[in-house]
Amino acid sequence: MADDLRLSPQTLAVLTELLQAGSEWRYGYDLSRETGLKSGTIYPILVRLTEREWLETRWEHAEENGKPRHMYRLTAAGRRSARASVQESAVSLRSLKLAYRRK
Amino acid sequence: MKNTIQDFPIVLLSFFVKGLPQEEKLWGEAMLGELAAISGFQKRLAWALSGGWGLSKIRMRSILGVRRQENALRPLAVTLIALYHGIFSCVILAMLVWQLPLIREPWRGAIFPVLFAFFVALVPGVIAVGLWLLDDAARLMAMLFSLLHALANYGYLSTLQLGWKPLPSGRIVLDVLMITVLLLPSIRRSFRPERMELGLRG
Repeated sequence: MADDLRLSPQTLAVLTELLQAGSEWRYGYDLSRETGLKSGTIYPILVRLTEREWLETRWEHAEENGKPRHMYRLTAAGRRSARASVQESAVSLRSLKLAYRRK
Repeated sequence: MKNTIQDFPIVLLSFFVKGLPQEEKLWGEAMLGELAAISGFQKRLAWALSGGWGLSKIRMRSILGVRRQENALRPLAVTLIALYHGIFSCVILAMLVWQLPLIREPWRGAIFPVLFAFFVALVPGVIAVGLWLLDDAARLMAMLFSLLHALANYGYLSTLQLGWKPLPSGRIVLDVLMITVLLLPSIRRSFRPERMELGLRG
């Protein structure tokens, strides 16, 4: 399903970050800090990845007087697709660089 | 007083979250949950402002029922055409607003033509949003709009026998260029709806 998708650099950044996290759950703010993306960019990406079932989400229990926090991690299928997409983009980038050097 | 200022990002983001339907409210609540964990007024304000913008994008996507290719990159030409239509709409709307105080007719007679003019001025703006979201209907509407615009300019030049005038002639060239670009196979592919996968179970 992921094969015919073209992913934006921002989405690839989020996927790379989530791949590095492995099976750990990540907060939206941490993802935002580590990718350098603003909340207005990162959440629409998280929505789309969740719709695609690449991501699973859960609410963290709130501490006293605190708000519950939403957490994210890749599903098994999402991890496979994400790895393939990230590798594919790295290959395209490498071939682009090679083509550029040849000129 | 200090608390009120500190709470402003929460109030701001809550304002965006409040009007959302249930399934999208979840994402607003998620942003609010993160906001509670962020310290520093500027960072909180930036999170709330950008979050509000993000929620508007999520809402707009749902309203238009857009299921474009997931995260597909928008071609630069489409971005430029969308911006052109957006600016076009803004200019006409600004001109209409500027003209409002000059209307001397009684409002009872003027209201419908004025409303119609505003409606027409919004059309390129709606096309701009559709192009931005890679909606194929917007691509077709943009071509139709450019065609009508080019014909109107051609009619203006030929009726008044003005010959070659840079501004209307330039607009015709621009309209033809936009139609050509929107017809290119590579551009059309960007607007291609998401592939549906059907399967029989059991």
